[in-house]
Parts: sequence; structure tokens; C-alpha cells
Amino acid sequence: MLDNLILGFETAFSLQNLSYAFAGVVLGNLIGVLPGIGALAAISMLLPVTYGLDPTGALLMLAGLYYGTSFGGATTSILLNLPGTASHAVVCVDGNPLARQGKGGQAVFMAMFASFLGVCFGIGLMMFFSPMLVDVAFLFGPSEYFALMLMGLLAASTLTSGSPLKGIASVMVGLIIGVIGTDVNSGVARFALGIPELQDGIALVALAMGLFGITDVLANAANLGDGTLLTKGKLGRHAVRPGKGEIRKAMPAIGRGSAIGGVLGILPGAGGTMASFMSYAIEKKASRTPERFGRGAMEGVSGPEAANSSAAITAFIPTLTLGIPGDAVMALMLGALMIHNITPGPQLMVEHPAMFWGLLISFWLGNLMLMVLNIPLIGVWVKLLSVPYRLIYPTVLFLIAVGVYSTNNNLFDVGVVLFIGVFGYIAASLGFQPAPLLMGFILGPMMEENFRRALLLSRGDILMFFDRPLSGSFMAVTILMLATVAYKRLRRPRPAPQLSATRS
Amino acid sequence: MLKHKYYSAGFMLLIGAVTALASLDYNVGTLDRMGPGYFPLMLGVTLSLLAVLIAVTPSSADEAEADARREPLRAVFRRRIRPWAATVGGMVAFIVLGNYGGLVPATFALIFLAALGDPKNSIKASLLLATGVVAFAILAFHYGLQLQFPLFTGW
Repeated sequence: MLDNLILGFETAFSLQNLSYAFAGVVLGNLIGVLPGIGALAAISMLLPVTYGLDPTGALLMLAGLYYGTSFGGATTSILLNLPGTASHAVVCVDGNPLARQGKGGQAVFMAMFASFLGVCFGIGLMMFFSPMLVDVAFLFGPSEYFALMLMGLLAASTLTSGSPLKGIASVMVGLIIGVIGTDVNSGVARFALGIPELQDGIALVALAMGLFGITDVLANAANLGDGTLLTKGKLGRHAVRPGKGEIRKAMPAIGRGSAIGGVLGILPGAGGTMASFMSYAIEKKASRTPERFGRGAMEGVSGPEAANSSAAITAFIPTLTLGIPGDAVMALMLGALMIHNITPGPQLMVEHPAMFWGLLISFWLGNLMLMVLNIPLIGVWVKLLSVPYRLIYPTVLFLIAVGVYSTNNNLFDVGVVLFIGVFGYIAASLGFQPAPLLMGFILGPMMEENFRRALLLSRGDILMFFDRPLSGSFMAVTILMLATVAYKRLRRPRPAPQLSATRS
Repeated sequence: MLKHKYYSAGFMLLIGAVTALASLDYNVGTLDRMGPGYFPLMLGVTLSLLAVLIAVTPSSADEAEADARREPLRAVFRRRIRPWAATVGGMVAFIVLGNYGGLVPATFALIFLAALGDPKNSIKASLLLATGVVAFAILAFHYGLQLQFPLFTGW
């Protein structure tokens, strides 16, 4: 363990990796602050930039982007009441009233501080659980992988916002799009429509940018407000410092939030959104003055932010050790690794220890950088937020077009992005979320591969998925989830809960 | 007027049915020796069944909500057609001009057209924004990142 940590420090502190992580954090923070752009859009826009780097550097930069955007998103949520992602919807509830009371700087600082502690907790969990999970992973055969992916996809599509039945349908569409291209077993080009560019399949970058970039622009253009700031006046360094005893008072909330986030992050599909909602509910219950919640309670910011960040870290555990991503962001990370010819799975920790432990240390380092950076930068973000969206979205479109073009130097992919974006917009307006679709797309080829291999090994006996203990229990959970979905759907619909997430 | 869930179900049924039919073009095979058509056929059939399920079961909370605050499709179109046309038109212009004109005209057209999607952007503001982004594109992407995209072609 100690050797590994030293290796991690060496990797993360090498000048090259340090600068990649730093670039990721700063860019992520900058992009995340812009309203209307979430972590998924940011990561897919910058994915092409990381092609030229070595895999470790690329992963560190993408991870930096991820928590940088997440943090920037929290800033926008608090100051503008515009959550970029569902996991930040909760932070708006109490963060924005705080900003209206002129405590915006303090709320942002608190979110940042809680985030950092949540990350530390998540890293601790990752250090101890990853090696254990690797041991389990060696028991996995094709049928286990298939069953686990099925369970993960189902969990991710049914637990997030919106109708579960539609979430499953989204996953299916993603799986179908994943089929496009050459079949590895037979060499037949499937659904290529005779277009040579489609024989390699749809590029991950084109799909992700279409679904999260173009779709967002189509939904938000001429619709988002003018970026009018709620906290007028200067937000200096002093406005950032929390009042006496605030930090001490926030500690229990941060502790509870981190624990909830850490555990939920490991489970496939649950992730940050559920963790932050749950933490908010628990803080409200635990508080002696629950009536303050919704009107600017600091615990309502610090608890969920800690939960969200802790979950963001532990979500890497199943992604890296099993190769099963829990949500769309993790699926993108997985895709990025595969582009670099690294197969996430139990072998990753053994074959690329420097990458794994370096990533772990860089989580810690990157979040430290974020915190140090943001104390002086909060004022800059506040200024940036006064740039209206009507000037931002054309630039976003340009970055998407150029980013997709640069992956293959090919204008065909720009057309694919546009097509997918329009498709994603129609689907989203009919209630089909893009995030499960992306997960289906990335896991699809792996699922087909394992499904075919498993049935080849069992000579076509489908019951084998239920016979083996591990895959049998995954299947049991899957069926249980399906039963819950069926039960919920058939029961009379209830009015949507007040805290419904805008999108996942 | 049809309920929201029927539109959703119809959309998915279309995708599912097309997938299932198209996968019959490939060798389907048997469960122990699957051909390239087996998995997509399975997906297409499952998606079609899901679509039927969406249509026949009671509306979920979000569908009921969508039905409640329903406005005529024509009104939505009238309000949103401008940003939609600007976004799609800008991207198409980028592809066409990228092929026949080069990075500079493509970028300029994309930004200019897309910016006009918001009625609050004047023509002057859009021109300024387009010029600014073109300058940024030349500096950052052409010279900075050495993007393989000629500034001007075919002139």
C-alpha cells in the first residue's frame, strides 16, 4: 500500500502530469461556470484535445476537467440559480437564497470546502476498496460481466430523473446505435447504409457532443436569461471568508454527506444526484431548525456538495476495477481509456499501477488546486457570469464543430454531430434522457461481446446466467428492479415531487 | 389531441421496428452460434415491446405534467423556430463552407448565423462576435494546435 502511494505521488507530481491536471482543473472550472454547460458537454468537447497525450496524462486531465466543471457548476448554481447538472439542483435550493442575502461568496466557499473534504473521504474509500474489488473481479466470466452490465444499465436508467420505462428505452436506443459499424466476430458492416465512414461506427466524441452540446444549445438558445447577477457589487476576498464557527457547525453535515456519497458512488447508477438529494433530506431531518431549509441554510449547501464530490470519486472504483461505469460521465472516461487502448478492468491496477495510484493522488491534488485557485478567482467567475448566454452558445457550437472535426480531420463527423444533436433534442423533448443513451452506446459492444461469448461457452443454454452464483445474484437484482418499475408504472401516478431534477 | 405518451411510444416503436427489420438482412444464427443479426434483432424487438408498454400503461408523472401544460405544436414552433433554424443552419453552413471555402468562412458563417438565433443579438453584434471567434480560431486552432484545416481553400 505504501509503495503504491509513493508511486502515485511520483506520478501525480511529475511536472508533465501536474500541468495536465492543472490545465484540466482550470479549463473545467472555467467551462463549468458558464451557464448551460455541464460536465458531460465539457468533457466531450475537450476529449479530442487529450488524444495526443499519454494515457495517464489524458486521464488526469479528464478527471481534472470533471471535478473542475462540477465545482464551477456549483458556483453557477449558487449565484445564478441555474443548475448545469441534476446533482447540483439541490445546491440551488439553499445556495441561491444565501446568494440573495449577500452571502454568495461564503456559500461558494463552503461548497468548495465541503467538496474538498468529500473528495478526501472518497479517496480513502477508493484506496481500500479498489484492491478488494479487483480480487472479486477475477471471479468474473463473460456471463458475470453481461449480468453486471445489465444491472448497471438498468440501475442507471431507472434511478435517475424521469420515467424509468423511458430510461430503459433510452438505453436500448444507445445499444442500437452502438451496433452500427463492423461486427468484430463476422466482419459484417451493420447498419452502415453503405457509407464507408460509418463502417467504423459512430465516433464517441461525435455522439457525446451531439447529445450534450447541440441538444443543450437547441433547448437553451434564446431561452436562457441574460445572465443577470443576483449579487450586485464586488465580491472580494473578504466576502468569501465564512463567519466564526460556521466551519465547525458545518462539519457534521459534511461528514454525513461524505459517507452517503461515498457509499452511493460505488453502486452503479446511483451516483452523485441521488447522494446529494439524500444528503439534503437527511440534513433537513437532522436539523433542529428544519424551517430554515430552502431559505438559505448553510448545511443545505455543505452536506449535498460533500456527498456529490465524494460520490464523484468513488464512482471511479467500479469504472476502473470492473470496467463498469456507473453514470454517463464515467462511461465517457471509460471511452477515453479505450481510445488509448487501455481496457479498464481488474488488470488495470496490475498493468498500469502508476496510472491508478497517480489518478488517486491527483484527485486530491487537483481539488487542493481548485480550492487555492478559487479563493482569488471567485470575483472573476462572478464577472464571467454576467456574459449573457446569447454570446456563449454560438461559440460553443464552434468549439463542438472544430472539436469533432479535429478527431478525424473529417467534416462527415460534424454532420453526424448535428444529426445526433437534433435526434437527441427530439428524444429529450419526448422525455427520453440522453445520459442513459450514452451509457448504452459505450457498454453496447462490450455487452454483445460478453453475451455471445457466454452463450457460446454454455452451448446456448440461457439459464446459465441464473445458475452461476455471482451472475445469478446480479440477475436477481435486475429482475427485482424491473418488478419495481412495473409496480410503480401500474400504480396511479402521483404528482411529481417538489425537488424534481431538471435533467440528469 | 393525442396524449404525450403516444408520441413517445410511437417514436420508440419506429426505431425498434426499423432496427428489427433491418437486422433480418444479416445472418441471425442460433443462440449458441449467434450471427451478426442476433443482437440487433433482440434489441429491436425489446425496444418495440417497451414502446407498446409505454403506450398501454398509465401515464407517468412527467407525461401527465407534459399533458397538463401542453401548448399547440404550432405555437411551440413559432416561438422556437428561429433558434432552431439558426443552430442547424449555422452547422450546415460550417460543413458546406468547410468543404468549399476553408476554416475562416466556415467559422464566420457558423457564428454569424447561430448568433442571429437570439432576437436580442443585433446584426452588428453577430458580425462582431463572428469576427472575434474567427480571430480566435486562426490563432488558437490554426497556429496554436496546428489543426489540419486550411484557412481558405478553392479560392
